[in-house]
Order: sequence, then structure tokens, then C-alpha cells
Amino acid sequence: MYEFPDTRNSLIARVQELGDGVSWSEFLAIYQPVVFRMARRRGFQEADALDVVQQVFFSVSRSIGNWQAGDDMPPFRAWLSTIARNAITQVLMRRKPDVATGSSDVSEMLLEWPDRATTTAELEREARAGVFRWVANQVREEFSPDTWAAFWRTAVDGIPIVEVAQALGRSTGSIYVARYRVLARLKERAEEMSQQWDLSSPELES
Amino acid sequence: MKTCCLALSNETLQRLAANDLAPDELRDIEHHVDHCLDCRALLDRQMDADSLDNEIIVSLATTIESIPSVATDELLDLGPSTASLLRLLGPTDDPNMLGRIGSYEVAAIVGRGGMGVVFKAFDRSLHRFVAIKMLLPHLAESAAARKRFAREAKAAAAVVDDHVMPIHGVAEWNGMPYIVSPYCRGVTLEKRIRDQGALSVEEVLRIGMQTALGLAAAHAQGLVHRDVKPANILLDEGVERVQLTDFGLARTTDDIGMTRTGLLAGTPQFMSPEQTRGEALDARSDLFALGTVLYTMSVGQPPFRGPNPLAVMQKIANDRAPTVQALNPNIPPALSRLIERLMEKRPNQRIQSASEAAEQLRELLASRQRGGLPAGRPRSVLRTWHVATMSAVCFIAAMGFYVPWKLAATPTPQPNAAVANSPTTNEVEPVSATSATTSWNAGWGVERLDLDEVWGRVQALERRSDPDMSTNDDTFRRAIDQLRRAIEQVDRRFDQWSQ
Repeated sequence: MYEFPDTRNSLIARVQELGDGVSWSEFLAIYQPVVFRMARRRGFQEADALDVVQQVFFSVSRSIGNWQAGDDMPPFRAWLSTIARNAITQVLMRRKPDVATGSSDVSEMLLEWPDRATTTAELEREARAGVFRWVANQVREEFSPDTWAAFWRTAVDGIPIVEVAQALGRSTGSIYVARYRVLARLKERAEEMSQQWDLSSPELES
Repeated sequence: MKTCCLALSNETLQRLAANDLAPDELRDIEHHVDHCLDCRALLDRQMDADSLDNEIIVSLATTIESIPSVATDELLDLGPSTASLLRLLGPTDDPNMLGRIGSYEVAAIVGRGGMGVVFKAFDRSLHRFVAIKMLLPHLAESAAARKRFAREAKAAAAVVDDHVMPIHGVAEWNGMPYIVSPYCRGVTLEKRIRDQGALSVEEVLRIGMQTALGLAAAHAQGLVHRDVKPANILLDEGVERVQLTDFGLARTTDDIGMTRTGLLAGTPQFMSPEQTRGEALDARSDLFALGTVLYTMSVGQPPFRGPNPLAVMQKIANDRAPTVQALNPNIPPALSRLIERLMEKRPNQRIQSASEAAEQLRELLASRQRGGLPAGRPRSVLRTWHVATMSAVCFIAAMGFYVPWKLAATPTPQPNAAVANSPTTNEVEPVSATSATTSWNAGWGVERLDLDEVWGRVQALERRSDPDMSTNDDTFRRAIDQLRRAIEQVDRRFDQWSQ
């Protein structure tokens, strides 16, 4: 009932060549930071990390046309997730940061270049985190700014409840309740979305 | 401080999590937790009840610094920003609330799109949650759209039926029209199908029948829904009741969708052929959509799909969808046929009224519940025979190659002489006919395929991705097409003949 006639699907008209507009935009919001993070962690400078991001998403966008709804095809999000993870692993395994030779730090780093299994596990973890951050952005607007702040400051920033209550001018009880409500909603959505993106298993591949 | 207690029962926790408590109940609980150490400890324990809690918190705590210059930002714009929506609301005193619309306290934004936004709000006078659907300000600028929205909503409010979502009221807030309806925690049929895939035959029949009843009630008032689709069919939580929502609203969005962007707004997957052509619509357009919804429930996805809205619309106008029975053998042929009759391209060939459709669905449901209506029986022995013959003939003629599956096993000179004399029939294995077919065949001394099996195989052929038999091959595609038309022709002739 909460879908306005038209609603989200109108986006398809704008990005129709990509297959499914809504999922694609969600996809970028979730996976771009994942790739960027992993590239930075591997020693890429910011500009080069962005370059890696671009390379991955260019490669993914070329495959988009291969998807067609059908009995033997996974749902769009799940399919896209698989394509992306393959592309990310491939790019990250192949590309190494351009570095000046001679620095022992650098050669040490290259020797310890993460292998495929490590990269895959890291990617699963990061992609799940990406989904959770995306979900948080969505869920945030279901609550009043006060309620959200109560959750964030206590649960994420780790500030004691009493202090947060004072800062927000609310009762301690209301902070307890707010924290619980927000987290419960986050969990509900996180489970749903990680499943849709085919990232539901917390067990990491090794 | 005192200790207690069972104030936070599991049920209360669940309702808290579901954001389902009235503002005063919420305040009572906050007040209680303020003074109750047990309940605080209980809520503390909920914080790391499982590993997911921890994973989420860690993810949020390590939120990345924003990425510079992402070129695709505009793609992320999914309608109006939260801030702009919150500015639409009046101020409220309740810190748990987002704001106010008229006398309603807005608790959350629960849906949004290019056309409007849906708020969850609390009605203080009646002490209940409601859903408020509001047309967005930039669209409400158009007086025509605003009036249409209000008019359609009022017309829809006049429909009182168990299977139509009631409308409490239609009003305006700062010049923006909005609709108030009950807030339900049910899921839409769309979500159900997305989560579970195809539904059971009983569910298809039950949901289909109730949807048809809702349509019948609206049609009786002269109202055409225009946007019957799984997202507009609400399944009440726990209760086996189905409600149709959003009557007539599609018309407002039609107006705006076309004028604003010059592009099609919305998903066309559940449109009728006449709708894709922009023709005038009557109740029978909704019946086509009902057929499409039944289809989607039966096989887990809509019949017409494509990479973009235009491609989907072309398919709706021109293509015949594979029968549901061909895709899901669990579907009884009678239901498959009913769906085909609802999805006839020409309105006057469809089942003509929603009440008739409801009646037929009711009968199928009753017979199903009595243990009847098995899956996969041939439609009629008579047609079975002729189609088998015809399709074998034209298949062999059209394809000109060995047919790698069962055809008639013990051919006799008549009446299907063409099959019998064809060289291919000598090489194939016997068909396992149903008993009905066998006994009828005995009179003619022949055995053959039944229509549904042939049809199913044609569909399967069309969809196969085997490069050797790919549908990308033009010759092959044409041959399949010929075969399909031949079958349809025979099917029609024998329908006429047997009446």
C-alpha cells in the first residue's frame, strides 16, 4: 500500500539501458564505497582508487545487458552482486599501486599482497557493511532526528545513555527506548536487503 | 528507582520494534524505563542479542568518509529528499514524531516516489494509526492534477467493500491534497511474490477471487482501477483477507507522468494492450490486469518482461505469453485457461466482468478444496487428438528435421495419415498417454500427444538457450511461430466445432 502508483519504477525510464534503474542506483550506493575502501587499503592513492572504482563499474556496466528476467536467471540484484564481486576481485588482483621502486616498505607491501581467498572474504564483509550503511540511510528517515541521534550517539558513538539524554534534553528512558526501536528496524531491513543482494550468509568464504 | 517487572513483555518489545505503539503508549513505556532498572537491563541485552547487531554497529561506526566526485550521483536521486518532505509538515510537540499534517501526527515516511509520498501518522481523535498519501508539491502545482487526484479519491472512497481498502477521508494540507486510509501492517502481493516466488494453487485462487470481488464492487460504481498490479494488492497480516488499494490514482499519475517527463511513468508490466496504446479504457482493462496478476502469482514473475518499458509494452500489445501451465505444471489446466481468457488481447474476447471472473475462481477454489482439480490433465480429448496431428504435421513440415521427442507411437493410416507416413515417426519412442486419452483413442486405434504437452514443448523450445537450437536463428524462430499459429488456429476451430 505504500507504493504510490508510478513511484520508484519511473526511474527505469531514466536509466533503462542499464536494466533496472532502482537496483542500479542502489548498487552504486552500496558497492562504490566498498571498492574505494578496498583500493585505498591496498595502498592506492585517492585518485588511483577512484580510477579502480571507475574500472570496476565500467566493466560491470558492460555486462548489464546480459541480464534478462527469466526462469533460469537469478533476480537482478543477486545477479549484479555476483558480477560485481567477480569484477572487483579481478581488478584488485590484477592492479597494483604504481609506486616508486626502492622503498622497502612498498616492496614489503607487495609481497604481502592479499591473495584471492583473503580478497573474497574481505569483499563479502565489506559488501555487507555497504548494504548496512545504505539501509541506515534509508531507515534514518523513518525516525525523528532526535530518535535517530539517540540511537547513533549511544550505540555507534558509544556515549553513555545518561549523557546523551542530558545533551538531547530527553529522559533516560526515552533514549533506551529510542535506541532499541532504531536497532530493531535496522536489523529487519538489513536482513531483507542483504538477502536481496545475495549477501545473506555471514559465514565468509575462505 | 524501583525495580519490577514484566512491563516490557515480548509482545511490547515486538510492537516497539514494529513502531506500532500509539504516542501515549510510547510515552508510558519511556516513563517506565526511566524508573525501572530491570527493563533497562532487558533493553541493554537486546543490543547484542545476535551477531547481526554487532555487525551493523561496526559497519556504521566505520562509515567511510564520502567518496569525492562520484559521477553517477544523479542516479541516486530516488525522488524528493527527506529534508524537503519534512519541510511539508507542520511543527509538533512530540519528540518522537516528525511533524504534523492537519490534525495527524506524522510518525514516519513509509513510502515515496516521483509522484507522492506516504506517511504513517497517528490520528489522535480516534487513537489509531493511519496511512496518509500525499501528492507532492511540485505536482500539486497543476490544478488539473490536484483536482483529478481529489476527485478520483472521493470516487474511490464511495466504494465500500471488504476487498477494497477503505478511504477515511480526502483533504488538503497547505494546498497539497492527501488521502487518509487505515494503516495496515500487511505485505503487498508484490513483496510476497518477490520473497517466495510462485504461490500455491489455493493461494492463487483465493487471492485472485478476492481481488476480482474487489474489482467487481468498484466496477459496479463505474470506477476503473487502471493500475491493478501486485504492488496494489495488500495481504492482511494473519487474516486471510485481500484488499485492493489505490483506485483511480493511476489516472492522476498518467496526467503528470506524461506531461512532466514526456516519458512513461510507472511499470507497464500489468497494463492491458489497449492501455499500452493509450486507448480509452473500461472495466475489461482491469480484467486483463487481473489475468496478469494471476499469471504472476502462478509462475512467480510477470508474463511480459523486457529491458525497458517500451519493449514490455510492445510485448503486451503483440505477443502471446506462454501458458502458465507450460511454465508451472502444478497449475491445473482449468486455471491456466481462465488466465488465458482474461488475457485475451481483444477486450470483447475476454471474460466480460469481474464478478464472472470471481465466480469462476470461486468454483475452481471449491473444487480444489474438495480434492478435485488436479494438475496437468489434457484440456479435452477431442482437441488433444487434432492438435497432436496438426502440430506433428506442421512441425515436421516446418522444421524439416528429426524431432527428438515422443510423437505418436503406433500410427495407423487414419485419421492422422500424415503423421503415420512421415519417416520420423518410426524412430520415436512410445508416448505414455493418460488413461482418458487412451480409452478415447481406443475407438480410433491411435495414440497421440495431448495439446498441453505439445504446447509446453513449443514454449520450452522458444525459451531454450542451446546455441544449436537458439531462438536467435531467424529460420527457427519463424518455424516456431508458424507452429504456434497453427496450434492456435486448430485450437479455435475445435472450440467452435465442439460447441
